[in-house]
Amino acid sequence: MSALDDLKKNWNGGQQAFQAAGPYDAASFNQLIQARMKKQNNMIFRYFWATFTLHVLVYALLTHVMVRYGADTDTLVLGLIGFLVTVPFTAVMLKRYKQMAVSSANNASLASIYTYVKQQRSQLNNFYTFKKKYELVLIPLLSAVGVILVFNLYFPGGVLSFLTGAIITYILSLLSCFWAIHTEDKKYFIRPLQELGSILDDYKSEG
Amino acid sequence: MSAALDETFLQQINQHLGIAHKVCGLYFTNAEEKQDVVQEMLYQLWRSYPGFDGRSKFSTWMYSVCLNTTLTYLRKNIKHKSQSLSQRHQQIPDKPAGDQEAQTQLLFEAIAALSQLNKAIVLLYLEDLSYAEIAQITGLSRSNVSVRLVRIKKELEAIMKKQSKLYSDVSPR
Repeated sequence: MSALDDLKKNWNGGQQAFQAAGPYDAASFNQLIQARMKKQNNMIFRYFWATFTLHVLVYALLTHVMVRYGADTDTLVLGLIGFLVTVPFTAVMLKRYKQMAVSSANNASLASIYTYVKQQRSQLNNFYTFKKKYELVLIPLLSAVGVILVFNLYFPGGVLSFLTGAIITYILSLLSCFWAIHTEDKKYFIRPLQELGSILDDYKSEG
Repeated sequence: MSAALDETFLQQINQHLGIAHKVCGLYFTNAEEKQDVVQEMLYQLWRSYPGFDGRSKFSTWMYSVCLNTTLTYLRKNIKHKSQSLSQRHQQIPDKPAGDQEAQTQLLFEAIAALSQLNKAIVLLYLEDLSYAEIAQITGLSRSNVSVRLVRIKKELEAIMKKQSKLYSDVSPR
């Protein structure tokens, strides 16, 4: 007989301590639910507000530039481009994030571990794929707008007079953005996706 | 689910509360973390209860929700995966007093080394669930559960042998 079978014989006898935990009455259970709801909402809105604040900063900066230097058509057009590329992406990204956060909370029941993990992986992967595409378009565009605006406004002759400096600034801003994004992705997407993938691989290993 | 708490639900939860604690006991060591996970499990159970149609036993459904919640918690709280070495980690473990106790401790340490899925299977096996119920909860086929359990038992024996050797090497003669 294996050690596991030996443990199984004594398992339920040795687990009496667990029965002592609780029981919950309606009031204490309600209190617990309220606290968890608050915690979950905080988690969802923490990401929401972080993204939203970042975009508000971009909008504030663009608005300031357009109001102050709006007489110059080039500056006005660049400011509007900045707005036009950021607004739809902000809206779609927050909408998708909300969908992912809410549905993942509802799927904890009924599904087997396999189905549940597969769903989680698929949802996270979909959002990550979308986020990657979004950043691949938005970051270079916004960085370009930012660099052109800064050089046009504060350097006599604008970008064309300081082409090398502008290109270096553009590359540096791209590198710093993508480095920050990669660090964030590793923590919130790449590593979790690997973990979920390893659970699914464990299923496959059985054939 | 409506804001009002379903009386039957609360009764069932209280009756099966041990399930949440057992799942936590197998996956987590930190007491604070255990408490947090149990609360998260209860919250997810409350949220999922309207979807429980009674086709399976309440306990089977509860195992599913608790295990799925645990996996989500482990994924979201990656801190315990890269724990820094504390003083406790650097100490050579004492060999437990009695033989039976020593064996049980070795077994628990061996179970902790298993993959997340295999840990779930071990727990459900210890809880005396049928192969059909284990298959339903994990999403494996019945035959796979049976094959996997044989392999898990062998894996546990191998880990325990290794640990036992480690203990005998470090214990004073």
